[in-house]
Amino acid sequence: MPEFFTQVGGLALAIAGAGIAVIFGGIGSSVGVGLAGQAGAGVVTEQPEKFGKVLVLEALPGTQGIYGFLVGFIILLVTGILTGEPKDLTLAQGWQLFFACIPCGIACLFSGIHQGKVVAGGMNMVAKDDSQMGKAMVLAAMVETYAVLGFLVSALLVFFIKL
Amino acid sequence: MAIINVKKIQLAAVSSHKDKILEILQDFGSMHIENIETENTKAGANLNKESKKDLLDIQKIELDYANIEYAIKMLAPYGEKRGLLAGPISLSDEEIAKKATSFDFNHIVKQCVEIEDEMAKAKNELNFLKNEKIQYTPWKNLKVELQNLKGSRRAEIITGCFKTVTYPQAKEELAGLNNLISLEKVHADEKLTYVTIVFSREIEKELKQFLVEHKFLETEMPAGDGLIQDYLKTVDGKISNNEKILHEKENELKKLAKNLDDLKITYDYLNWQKDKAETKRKVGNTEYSFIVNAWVPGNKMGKLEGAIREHTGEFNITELPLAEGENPPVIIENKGVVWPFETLTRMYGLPRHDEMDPTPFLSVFFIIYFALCLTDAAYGLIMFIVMALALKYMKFGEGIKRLVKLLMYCGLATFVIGALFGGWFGLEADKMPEFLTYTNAAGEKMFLFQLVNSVTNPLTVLILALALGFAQILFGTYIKLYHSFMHGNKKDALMDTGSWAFMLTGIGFFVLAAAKVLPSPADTIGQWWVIMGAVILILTQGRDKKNPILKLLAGILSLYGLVNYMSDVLSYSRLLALGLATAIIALAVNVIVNLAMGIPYIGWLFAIVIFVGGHVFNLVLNALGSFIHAGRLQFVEFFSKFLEGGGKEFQAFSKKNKYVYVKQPATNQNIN
Repeated sequence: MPEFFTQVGGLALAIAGAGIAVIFGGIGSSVGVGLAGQAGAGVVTEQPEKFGKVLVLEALPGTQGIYGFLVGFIILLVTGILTGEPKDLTLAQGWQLFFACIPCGIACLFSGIHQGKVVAGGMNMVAKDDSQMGKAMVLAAMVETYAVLGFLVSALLVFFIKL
Repeated sequence: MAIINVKKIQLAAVSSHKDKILEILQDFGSMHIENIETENTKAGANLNKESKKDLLDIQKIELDYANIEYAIKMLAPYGEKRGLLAGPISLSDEEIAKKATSFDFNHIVKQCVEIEDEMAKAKNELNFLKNEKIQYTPWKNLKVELQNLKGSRRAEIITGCFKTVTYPQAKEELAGLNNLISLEKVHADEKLTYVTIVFSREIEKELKQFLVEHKFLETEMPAGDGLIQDYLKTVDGKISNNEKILHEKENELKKLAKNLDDLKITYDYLNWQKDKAETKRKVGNTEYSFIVNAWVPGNKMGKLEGAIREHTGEFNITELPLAEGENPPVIIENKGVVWPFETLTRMYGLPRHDEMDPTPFLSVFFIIYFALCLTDAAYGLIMFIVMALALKYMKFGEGIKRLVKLLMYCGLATFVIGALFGGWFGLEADKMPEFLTYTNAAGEKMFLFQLVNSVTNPLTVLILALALGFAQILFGTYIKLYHSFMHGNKKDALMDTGSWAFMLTGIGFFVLAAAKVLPSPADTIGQWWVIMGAVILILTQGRDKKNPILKLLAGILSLYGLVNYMSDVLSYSRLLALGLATAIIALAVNVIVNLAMGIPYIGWLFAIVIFVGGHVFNLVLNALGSFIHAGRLQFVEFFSKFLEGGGKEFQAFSKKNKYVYVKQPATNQNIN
């Protein structure tokens, strides 16, 4: 097993980290936006004029995927993959980048799903009275906090790990 | 800039003026009318509610209202869309009333009902006919006439289909079954083979058994005479006939939809009438007079009396004292630059009548936070220009106008702060031409006006965000201290809020001293200040307990409150995260644009599309995020320091419009 990692090298571990951030964030957002979208479609069936508001609400759980993508992107940036001259990372550096991606990935996974549920509930508020839209958005933003924190920690880690 | 003082009044007047006075009140538009309970209350015991006539009036208006709502809903998809720049219909109150009273909307409603009926009928028939066509088209080559399919005394005919896959086998077995059966294939496609089977009644049972075993699907032929081909032709004829009817009816609807504007005007007018009729039911009646219980802004009392006196002198307005625990409805009023920020206060819900209007306090913080979350000068400029143009050329209702104006300010703030942080479409300073950049003391290349690079130096931004958060929370505590000192028990105010304000200020001082911002002896002063703050908290927070040990314990426990303050301050770190998110997405867009530039010949075309699309996407997405999160910081972290909220909104009895934009609003309350 140890030989496996030595053969794979640090860069591959960093890429795996980027994958974790993007994949988990993406799953969180897909599920979240999916839940919100289903509820939203129900609202739009009855009241098509509320499409704009429903769309805005549906977009809220989409940010987790973006945070994941961003962490992935920063990894591509700092490892020099984007510029075409990938750095030769040691195994330790690879692992560091790998673990740095985990806070964002996992936090976004759960935050995205649960934000989707809150938004789906918020859709009911909008269906009944669209002047309550602001409140629905704030309720959803509470869930997002933890994705933001996860992203913040991952982003700072990736930026500041010495390569 | 604050919560308006409202007075509780009782208006009594002679019954014969009831309609006219209600009309005057509606025009006056600044009165929140309470329902007078006549049952189970002492005050209402001698009062009657609406007469039978009033009730009938309401029913008639509600019926008209529902009818016109139906007609608008029915016609809306067929009407011409109003251009974005044309804005809503705009008329004055008088024009609306004139139009609505002269417009025969019932005629249109009736036509709508008729057309809908006919369309429903045609659609039903069409469905039926289309099914018939699908069902019988495979049989079009059937040579037997329909009337002959009934069979004779000895023989019977079955029509139906086998699965094409099993047909050859079925055919063979059927031939072997009995020679009194004749099978004829009419049509075959991939799935089914359509056949007629003629057989002697003697073997009916046997054959039916066979057919069931082979999953034969019997088809009942349509009743009638002649070839099925002819039947299909009549079906086709009916289909095109019904389609023609539908088309005609749609044209009729399109023609009717030309009245849509008039319908909408009438709808608004009826909405006033409905409101008036409903208000009539809130009023209490004695034999010769009626009584209105209401709330009126203190500064409008004179205007109210004047307005009624123009019509009659037979009335009386009495100011009533507030009952114990009664919550007057709340109006907040903010002028000028602060006004757009009411959007946020209203989003959260209004403050209670005895609290402060948070709008002016939150405005500065909100706009800075929004700008920090977006941190791109170019985005800010775009937002500012778009919103300014929208304000200039488009007409909005009050709520939307408030929001657009707020976003315009936000754009401007983002432009300034974005420039300080060097955000210009996420471009990197060292790739820019010389005249746009300078090199700072640390040797880093910066845009002009740029002070900090948030991507290479996020810690500075984080400290700034936390400092802003701490400042806002401290500010909130002081607001609470001031307000409760002025309006409540002074001792409690000083002990509860004052001790925390003292403690928090001390912590701020201590941190500044520890960071060497303040000169040398400050750190010792800071230490003692914090210790003294803690002692004061321990001594004061347990004062309502009787047992001295419990007093001390409750005091010590109160220090746990520090954790809450700390978590509130840390919550402001989101400002950095969201700012980074904008910068990095912009960067990602630019990287992809550069890749696209590498495509030979047409690369620039892709590059432009990606640049524009990518940055617009980033702008919209992050502006939404910035707005929500900057707002949340107000609602959750800031408001909780000095505001409970839950004020009941002052709902003025006025002329409310859904569709029509009133040219000269009678007051500023009547567009929702």
